[in-house]
Amino acid sequence: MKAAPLDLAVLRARLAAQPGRPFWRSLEEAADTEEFRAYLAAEFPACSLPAPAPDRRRFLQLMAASLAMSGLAACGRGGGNSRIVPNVRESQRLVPGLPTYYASAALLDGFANGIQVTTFDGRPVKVEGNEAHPWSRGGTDVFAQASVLQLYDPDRSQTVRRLGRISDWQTFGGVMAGHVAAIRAEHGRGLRLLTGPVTSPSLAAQIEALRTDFPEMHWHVLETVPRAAVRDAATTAFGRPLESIPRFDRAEVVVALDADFLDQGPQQVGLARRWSDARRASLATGRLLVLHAAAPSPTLTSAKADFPVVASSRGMAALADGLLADIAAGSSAAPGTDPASQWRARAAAALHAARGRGIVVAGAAQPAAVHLAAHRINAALGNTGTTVLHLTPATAPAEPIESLVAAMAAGAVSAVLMFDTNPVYTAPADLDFSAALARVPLKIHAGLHVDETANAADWHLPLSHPLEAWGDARAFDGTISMQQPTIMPLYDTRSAGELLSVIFEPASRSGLAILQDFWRGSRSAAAFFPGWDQSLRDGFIPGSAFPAETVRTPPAAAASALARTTGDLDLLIRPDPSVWDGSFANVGWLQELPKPLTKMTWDNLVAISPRTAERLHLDNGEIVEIVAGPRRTQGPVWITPGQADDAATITLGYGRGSAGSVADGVGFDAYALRTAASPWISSGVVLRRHGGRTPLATTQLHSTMEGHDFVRIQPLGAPPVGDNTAFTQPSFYPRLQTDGRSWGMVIDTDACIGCNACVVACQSENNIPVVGREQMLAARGMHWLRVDRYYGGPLDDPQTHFMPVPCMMCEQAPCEVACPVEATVHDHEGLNLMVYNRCVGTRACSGYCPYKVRRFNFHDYSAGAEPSLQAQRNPDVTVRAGGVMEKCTYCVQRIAAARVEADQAGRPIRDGEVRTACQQACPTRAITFGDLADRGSAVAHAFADPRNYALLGELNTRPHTTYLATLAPAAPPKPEG
Amino acid sequence: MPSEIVRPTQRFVPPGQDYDAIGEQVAQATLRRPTMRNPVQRRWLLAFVASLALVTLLIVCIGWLFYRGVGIWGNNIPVTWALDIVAYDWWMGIATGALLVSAVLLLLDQTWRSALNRIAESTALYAAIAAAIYPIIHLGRPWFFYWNLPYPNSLWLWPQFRSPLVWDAMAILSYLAITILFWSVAMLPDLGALRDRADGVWRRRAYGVAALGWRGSAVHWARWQQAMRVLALLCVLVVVSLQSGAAVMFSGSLEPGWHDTLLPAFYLIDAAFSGVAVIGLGVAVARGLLPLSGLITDEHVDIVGRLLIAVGLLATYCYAADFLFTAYGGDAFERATAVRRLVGPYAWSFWLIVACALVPIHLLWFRRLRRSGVVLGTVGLLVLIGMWCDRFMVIVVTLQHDFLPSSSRAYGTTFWAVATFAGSIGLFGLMWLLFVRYLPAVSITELRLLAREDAEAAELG
Amino acid sequence: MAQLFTPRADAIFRFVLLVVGVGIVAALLVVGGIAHSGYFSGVDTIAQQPVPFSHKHHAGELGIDCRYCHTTVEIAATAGMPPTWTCMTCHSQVWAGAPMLAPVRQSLADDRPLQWVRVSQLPSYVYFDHSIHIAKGIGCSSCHGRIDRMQLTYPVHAFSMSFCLNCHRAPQDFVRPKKEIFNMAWHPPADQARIGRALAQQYHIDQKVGRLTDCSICHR
Repeated sequence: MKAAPLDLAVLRARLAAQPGRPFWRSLEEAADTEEFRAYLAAEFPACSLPAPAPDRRRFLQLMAASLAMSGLAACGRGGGNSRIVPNVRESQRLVPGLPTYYASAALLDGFANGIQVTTFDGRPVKVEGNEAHPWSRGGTDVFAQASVLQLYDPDRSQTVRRLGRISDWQTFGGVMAGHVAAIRAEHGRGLRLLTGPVTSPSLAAQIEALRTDFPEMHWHVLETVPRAAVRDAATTAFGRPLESIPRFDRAEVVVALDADFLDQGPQQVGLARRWSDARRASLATGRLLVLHAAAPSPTLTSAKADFPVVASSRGMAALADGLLADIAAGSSAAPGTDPASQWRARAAAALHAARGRGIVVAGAAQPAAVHLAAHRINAALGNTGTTVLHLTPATAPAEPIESLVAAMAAGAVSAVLMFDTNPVYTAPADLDFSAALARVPLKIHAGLHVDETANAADWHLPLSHPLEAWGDARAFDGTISMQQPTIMPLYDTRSAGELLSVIFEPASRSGLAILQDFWRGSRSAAAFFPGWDQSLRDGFIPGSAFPAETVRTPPAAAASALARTTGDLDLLIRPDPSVWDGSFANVGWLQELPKPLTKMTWDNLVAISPRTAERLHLDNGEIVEIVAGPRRTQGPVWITPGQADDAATITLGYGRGSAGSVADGVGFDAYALRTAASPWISSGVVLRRHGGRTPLATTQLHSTMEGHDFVRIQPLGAPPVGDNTAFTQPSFYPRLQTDGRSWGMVIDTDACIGCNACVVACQSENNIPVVGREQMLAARGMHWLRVDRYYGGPLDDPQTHFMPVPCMMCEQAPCEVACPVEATVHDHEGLNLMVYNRCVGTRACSGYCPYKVRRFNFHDYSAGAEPSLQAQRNPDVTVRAGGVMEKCTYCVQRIAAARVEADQAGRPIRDGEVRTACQQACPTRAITFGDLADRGSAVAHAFADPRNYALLGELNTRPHTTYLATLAPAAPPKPEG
Repeated sequence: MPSEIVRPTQRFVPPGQDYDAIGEQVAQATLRRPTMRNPVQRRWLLAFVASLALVTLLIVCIGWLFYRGVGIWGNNIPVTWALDIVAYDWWMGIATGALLVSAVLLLLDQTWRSALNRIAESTALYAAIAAAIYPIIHLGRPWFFYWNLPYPNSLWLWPQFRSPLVWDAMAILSYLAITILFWSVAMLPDLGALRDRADGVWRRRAYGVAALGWRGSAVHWARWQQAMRVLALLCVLVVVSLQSGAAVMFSGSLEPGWHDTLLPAFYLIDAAFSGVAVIGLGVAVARGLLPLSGLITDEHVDIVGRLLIAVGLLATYCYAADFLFTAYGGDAFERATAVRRLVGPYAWSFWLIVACALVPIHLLWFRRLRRSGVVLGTVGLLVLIGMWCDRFMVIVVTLQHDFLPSSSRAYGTTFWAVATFAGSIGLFGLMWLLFVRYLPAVSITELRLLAREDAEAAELG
Repeated sequence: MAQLFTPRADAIFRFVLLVVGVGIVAALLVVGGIAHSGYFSGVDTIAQQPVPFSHKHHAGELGIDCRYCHTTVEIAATAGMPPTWTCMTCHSQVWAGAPMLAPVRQSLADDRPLQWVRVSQLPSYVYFDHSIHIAKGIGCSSCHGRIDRMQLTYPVHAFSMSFCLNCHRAPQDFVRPKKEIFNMAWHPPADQARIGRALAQQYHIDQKVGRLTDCSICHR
């Protein structure tokens, strides 16, 4: 690597000049001095700042050396080569090398989940769930976990751009002053605001203030994952738009109509936790909380159902109405022989049996008719208000995008300000947004990236990442969550609130000021600040969740099953479980994250049922052309068990044109087939073989258990399927000698919903590199923790099981016998260690590992990472070199930290003091970790559970990671495959 | 005395081969300067250039490997071992087998071996060298290979002595040491003979130094024979330990298809199989490439053919036994692996074993075929291919799908993996060619011995 | 024909063999020696510092406590280096104009930090924690030597794995009473064997199963 031409002395000085947070600002200033020259030279700088990688890398190494105090010492001769650069002034808050934690909020579609951000020396390195947060209760989803990498995304927008050329805020402010004056003169006529969903009270208030300022201004919201159907159904049923929140803890039966309460989305973390808690509680009472689920396309919710059924896409509305009829009739009509109607009869009977203790819930992807049916059933059974509550939607009401496009096309829009949204990419294709946008004289876009919309706008403004900005947002249940910066903005960016202030307010306010002004209102400082500080410390405002609304009984209108054009197939368009609507597309962790059901990485797919595949003679990976009326696109086919025969499913977020080096050119664009009228589904779609196929980087080829019982099923009341035979077999080897402690992990397969939060958390905590599509194809993924997915039962109507597989920490570890250099050995706390610096890379340990949980650096994957990405790395975990084996360590760095803390206090490590990254991230608390030797520990109790069993225990490896069998109602739903 | 069986009825020395003739022929083969005019030497030169090219390729491969890491091969998770270890085991099989045959025959006083032993011993040495590059270059961090060996260090750490890999590292080192001794000591008298025949004082000096001052005195002969017997015994021991050790590298694990007590015996027999096969091939090549057809007679070809049938049948028995035990063993994973060997994605490797190794040997039941050097060479080559497939089957079929269906992934090789293997063949070939060029390819001494005994036998009869 | 070799050839040959054999052994020893020499380990070599800071003067003669500058030694993994302000607390009054201290004043003036050359360095895969060693009764001088006698600072030990193991295998030989930890002059008393064992007991230092030599204690 060549020596850096930029003035390193100055850099180092600036870096160390300020403690922690501030140096980041100087980092970019400093780096920019070098970049700007190269940058300004470029005639038409298209995407993000061209960064001379070697320089920036060298630069970060220096930063690492400077911060060597935080454990990042460079190897080599003592003295001479490396420097210690202390502060000039003492930093009060920050001790080098010790983590600092901030409570904040992670945003998805504007909704908040409570998080706690770990920072080292001013660098956020890990996002954890906020245990105290009343909605998310310590759980997180993949997006919250990955947001820290998004913060450091080197492709992020870093400067103001005018017509694609670099500019600055001052110039922008100057130019805007004129425009704003003109707009003001016209009372805001022609001014339009386009945003993503907004739940932030302060931002909503700012926009309200704008409205009073500019009476004729319009505010539009573009929902990429629309909840319109939910609101419409509620309006019809109860007279006003409401969200439904199931109270699983009061229920015995849940009937899910393509419901998504366990699937990725703003509702996932909170509802999944409530679901698993209720399920556990119901086990104790002996009356298992049973889930009946019908879905045209497999979801995590249907995967966890005790009674799943693959429902025809066209039949969903009919199925819902039929269920309603059954309930109304008090008994189900003689059920047909097809699985769907049998399912319907079973569900109806169950709902009857559990009057007032049942829940019927429909997913956001279903039309209003289905939601309406659900409302009516709940009302008829007296569930409404007891097991199903209705809350005010957290999103501030605004006009839809259609009216905006109409106005723009009509030339009635003189200026449009778009932030936190990427309409050119995400607007429904039939609106032809970009054409309309072209007619607007003044187009301003603010976003994290110089994305498709930015390239179409006159001005692009860099937006601050949630982790570096002040703000607030509501959780799905309305809980107001405070969002505070964990680092000074990496670049000269503004938050949405600051942006509005910059443009429209005479004296622009800081994000903090905006937030404080809003929440303080007219209160005195003395009255305000105590509560303010508390809410920042907690990360939320207690008791701010919406109260349950009392609603009228929905009018019994005639069931209105949608009239459907018959065609070849329905095309179901869903958000992607990994990259959502595309806003996370440039995050490597998420691109490389095996999707929960297909285990696919680096691609989106056209999911079709096995029968459809037979009918069309299609095979996995074959490229098909999807023809939906005038719109068409191509994508690879994936044969998906549990998919309805009359529907193909595609996911959003791929086929990006200008997202960044990671996402560009990956997958195909599903928005191209979307219509404003029916964003979730389009009928009469035809699949044509397009010829050719793409190799698809899936991480699991075999999907059945091949007759084994890797995942065990525990029917209620049946004799326990768990056993401890794995630990009672004789062995020639002496039992492991432990010094009191014996770490172990128990994973509840019944609670695991396969959401992948643990996988990303592990990657984030342990500096696990992203290896890219090619290496994934070569079966060289580096995930320490994988979630195996197994199918049971018939191909066309399968049972789905999830099984997270970390290192088993075998007491009699085969890998340890293999290693010639003692690079993998046991310590005295029952851990199977991996000593990277001793590993020579024979790979024998992996060959010997029956669980194949070991991962090998076939190339030097961690080298050459963008410097800003290196800044995310956890200083307490070694960055592995090429040719070295690695694996799950039970987050040994956390154990070590706890050990030091406990030893200094002269006390033992408390139960629950050490929480592994996967355990902490899990929204359903499926993972229990602790000291097996401590009889009183939670993990010891879980280990003693009759459901507890060891994976491949017969091999006598004595694994310390064990599993709890999946629960099933007394009558097992299906014979296991 | 086993040697009775083959003498005096068979004559391993063709008529008209006396001391001088023998010495002359061997010396001719080595001492003559290579020219394109002479057909034999043209063949030699072409072969030499070819292997030189392959060795160059090998050097390029290793350079690229060290720069980019083992990722340039197709190895992945779960198939962490692939062509690298396949090639290593294959070469070691050849090496140990050849050495075993030569040593055992010496211990059994089979004097007819004299025409073959040098070929066998040299093959044993060069194949081992070709193999020995793999344990180092297949490492993720090859520059730390010495951590595999016990040596005093500031880490206060020793190797992990439970690991079969440590013992394999030591075994191959001792193997190399012993083989080099066996091979060079055996050559001393011949080097002496060459020294006396070589023209040009420097060549003679060179051979002289190599001969360590061999004068052929009675004492020399006595000690020499003593040494040869001791070394032969050591050879047998090291071969047995090395091959069983190599087998334990697999059977020491829990993996289905590896975790098997039969494996050490299996490996030893497979080694003998490849050993005899490579001797057969060597004999054919030597007869074709060198003017030694006078010394390596049809009788030799015949007896190697018989040996090949014998070990081939033993190997066949092992395969049968393996499947039988698995079928009766009742372990579902073992069975699944056995089935995958027969019909899985890599079943071709098993069926190539059958087609190349287990079936062709039966051609040699027929006397006419058996006595043809060409047939023997062809069969030998086929058997070697079969043995390569055996290593591939054992390693890859098990790794690519062991216990959990979820951890089953396919293995695909790459150009670099194949090129490296081709390079190792080139290395072997190069050493072999240099050997036949500059060292006595067959033992002058022992042939002379044989000639005398033969003459005496004739007088008696 | 003429003799190939003179009668001395044999002796020469044997001699050459001998030389080669001895040479190999010697070469190994030399390489090993160089690898552990001060040149590579940096032991006893004084690095050029921006300011010729004297521990002898400050810690030894003035008797300033280590923790006055190395503030985080008891709470964090790193001992911590003093910010310029700490120097200036005294040197704004004492030696306020000394040319030797110009860099310090400069640093404060331009708000640019001093850059000290690292004296004791560990590889990045070693996770050493000062605080726990202090808490368990290991004194500064055990690793850093008589720093209070160093006019200019230099390392007295090569921090090789064997150096660490030396103590991790027999902590009782090195642990001190809490009050002696910052005492540079401390050296094991005659009955350290007894006292050490008692102290180790008191500090809950495992002396039986060898938990201190688990790889996970230092490597992650």
